[in-house]
Amino acid sequence: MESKVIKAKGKFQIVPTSAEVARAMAKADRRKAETTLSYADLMGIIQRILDRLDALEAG
Amino acid sequence: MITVIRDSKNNIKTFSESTLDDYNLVLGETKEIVDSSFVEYSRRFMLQAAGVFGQTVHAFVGGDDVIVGVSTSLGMDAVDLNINGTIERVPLVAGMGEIVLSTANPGIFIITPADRTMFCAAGNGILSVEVVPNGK
Repeated sequence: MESKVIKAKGKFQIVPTSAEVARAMAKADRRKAETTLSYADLMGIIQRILDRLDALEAG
Repeated sequence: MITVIRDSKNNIKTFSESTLDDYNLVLGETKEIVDSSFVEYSRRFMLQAAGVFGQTVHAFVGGDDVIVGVSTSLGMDAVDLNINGTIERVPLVAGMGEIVLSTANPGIFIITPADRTMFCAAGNGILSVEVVPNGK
């Protein structure tokens, strides 16, 4: 699927999908999951897992 | 002489030095004979990055910006590019212009001519730039 692009400060830049953002945060999420999580942190991690699953199923 | 094949929407699909027969066409396609050489016709629209034409160019996330050069032999002041569906008018000086691609985020840029009835989006007329994570 073609990534969306925007033009900012004279340059074209790829707009990452929510799944790509989630993938970029995967290592940090894994480290965070080994600690005691706040409710907000937990919800954030679950949302990113769901975003990646959606992308996986759509692929 | 070259043969130009157009699709059912009149877009230039490809061109060839061969005199293609009608059986080379699929439904809705048409062909026309143009008095030009293959090299001359290919110079009507060319895209390159770092001197690379018609191939995928790779860059690393967070690395240097990628400068994409566009050129045409048709003596135009500007040409419209399609960058992943976004249309950008690029001014030309002496038939050449450029756009800048950021490497801030990973993904693939696909650059083609916006007007495919005028220019062919194949060979030197299309450029893919893949921005890949650098593994850090």
